[in-house]
Amino acid sequence: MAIVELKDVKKIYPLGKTEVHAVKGVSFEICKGDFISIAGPSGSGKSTILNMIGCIDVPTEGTVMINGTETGGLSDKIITDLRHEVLGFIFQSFNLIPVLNVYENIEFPLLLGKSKMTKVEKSDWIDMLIEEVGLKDWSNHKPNELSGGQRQRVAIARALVTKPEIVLADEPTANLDSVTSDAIINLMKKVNRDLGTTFIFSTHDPSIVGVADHIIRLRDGLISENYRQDDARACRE
Amino acid sequence: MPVLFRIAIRNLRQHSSKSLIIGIIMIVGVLILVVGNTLINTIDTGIERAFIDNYTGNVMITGATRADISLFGVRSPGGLEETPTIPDYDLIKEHIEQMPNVEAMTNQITGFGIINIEKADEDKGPYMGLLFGIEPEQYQELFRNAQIVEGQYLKPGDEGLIMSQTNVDMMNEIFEMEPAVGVGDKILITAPGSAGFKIREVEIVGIYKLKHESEAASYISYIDAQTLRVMKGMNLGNQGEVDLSEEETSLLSTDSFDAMFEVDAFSGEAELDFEMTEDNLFSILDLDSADDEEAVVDADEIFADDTADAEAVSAESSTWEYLLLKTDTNRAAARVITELNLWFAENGINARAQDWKAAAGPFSTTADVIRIVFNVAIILVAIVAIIIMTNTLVINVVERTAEIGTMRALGAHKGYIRSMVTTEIFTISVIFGFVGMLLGILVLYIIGWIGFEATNPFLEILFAGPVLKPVFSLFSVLGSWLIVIVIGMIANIYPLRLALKVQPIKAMMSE
Repeated sequence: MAIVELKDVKKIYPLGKTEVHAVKGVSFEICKGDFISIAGPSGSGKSTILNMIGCIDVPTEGTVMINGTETGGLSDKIITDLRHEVLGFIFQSFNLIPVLNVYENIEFPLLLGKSKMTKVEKSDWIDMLIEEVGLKDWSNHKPNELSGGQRQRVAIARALVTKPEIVLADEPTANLDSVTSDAIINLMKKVNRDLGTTFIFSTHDPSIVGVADHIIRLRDGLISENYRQDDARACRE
Repeated sequence: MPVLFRIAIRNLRQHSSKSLIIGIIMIVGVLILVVGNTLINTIDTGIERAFIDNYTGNVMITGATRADISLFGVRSPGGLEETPTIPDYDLIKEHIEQMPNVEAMTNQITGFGIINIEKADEDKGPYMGLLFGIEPEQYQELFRNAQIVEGQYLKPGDEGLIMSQTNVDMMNEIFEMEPAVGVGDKILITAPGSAGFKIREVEIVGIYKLKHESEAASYISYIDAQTLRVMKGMNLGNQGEVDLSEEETSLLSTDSFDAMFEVDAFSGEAELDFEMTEDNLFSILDLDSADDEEAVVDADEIFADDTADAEAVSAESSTWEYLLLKTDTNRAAARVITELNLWFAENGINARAQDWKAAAGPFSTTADVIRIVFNVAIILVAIVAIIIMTNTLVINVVERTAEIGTMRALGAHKGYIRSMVTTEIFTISVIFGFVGMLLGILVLYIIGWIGFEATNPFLEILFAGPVLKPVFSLFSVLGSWLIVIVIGMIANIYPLRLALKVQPIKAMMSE
């Protein structure tokens, strides 16, 4: 079943008196549990597509559907709830809250809405995530006391804390060295395998594109290649 | 600790320079408010005490007037409206005596007189004096602030006047008398009344000094009510009816005073050109020669019957312009005033009850004027402070755009962002406001400890005594803190709007 579906999506940004056609009509499906890479050079439209899937930007034309629901026209409140409950975000620049420590940063999304977990369950779950990302000894440290790789690990744990169905990662390794990049991608892959979370990440680094089991290549706002490792043409029911 | 407070406090530390700018503004703001409000309260209390204790009481009752009335008269344009006497005085007095909150009352008549001294050089003086006609016993019971430093207080039934030391000093300065004017000396008072100007010679029986200084009170001279009534033409004794014969009436109705005094009273030679005999004239005017026994007896007979005078004097004792009340507490005064005005309306009595400020008239406005000036200054300072704080908070929001965008992307509703930004400014306001409040109290404590002395009577009024001792008011101190918190919230309106406009996509713009 397609967890994300884009139909003829276009995005035009005004730039002074001219317009920038960032996405020129893109359609594809992402299946539940996919580990998908949206690849392409800078300016190809991969971040724009990621933003529209993440409901933090809206298409100029076309439709974006999450779990069969068209996101266009939803109220700010419903969209915010959707982001909180269904989506997790990993940012290129980590975007950790500077005044909160590792534990608090990971805990933060849980404080934004009602959670079914008890206080103890929450605590255990956060501790487990911290351990899983290898930051057990760093939980009381602030982001500025961590390396880039450690920060991105915190961001991954934060993205997973609400147990979202989809995690969106915008160039998660762009600010990391190659060794750390590999470690981060492997961690994401492990979570994808263990928890069945759908990962959608954008990158222009050819070395990590290959890790994905579904690759969408973009060029000038259009799909140049839509390739699945398992060669399936549609999502399985 | 809730995460919002955690974020707020840590953000204060994180953005310490901006927090400090806002904090210092708040500290200074609360400091000014606490010190200023407390000093104004001190002045207020001092003035209120000086007026209520010295001469207004808590409640003033007068006859109804169109213009404002104080103990110094009616403030009508051109002074055309006269101070009315209190209508149904006895009925009102009887009603007040039954009011539980009224501790004491006294009556008063107010007049102004040109004070002169007969023996003084013609080019010296005169000066205008303020006269309060009182019933000494009642008045002293209500206003115990006047301490006799020389002579004695007025005694019931006696004529005379007591003057303040300030007044006596001023009089001696003006008239340059040697020896100085003092107790036992007589002064001439010329006062305007309903029947023109009247001159009375009045003896100074005492000199007083005020326990609590008051600018206006120190210029008051207290005179026996009956003398002031006569001077103001209020004495009903002159209105007693006397039966006159036709001839006597004819004489009094003549408009030719020259003709009347063409009679030589000593020689007895008359050159009257009207139909009036010399005897008739002398029987009325009692200007007959000493050897005309019959005429004297006739005159005595005329004035022997004093029934009408007695009635008039009795009526006079109920002729007052003011009735001043002291209530058991200052707070009770407002209730008493309301009750009295309702009672006047219900009973069709054309009288009015007002508070001490109305009674004190223009003199009570000192504190109000100071408070207005202070408040205007505070408003101006607050506007500047709001602008500076708004700018600082806007910079803060702009710098944190990515952070706010990230929160929105992670699922924070606008309400959460509103709470977060508001909590931050609230926390700053509370913390720095508290510091400002403590500093304000410390400054006031230091002022009290130093003990600034009042170097003149005006300052003595403002300081509510010879030394400035700030009167702390918890309400005022906490109120100042609250005002600064509100100012912080006002300064936060625009930055908050900016924060709420931050879209989640701004999270992607972080570098």
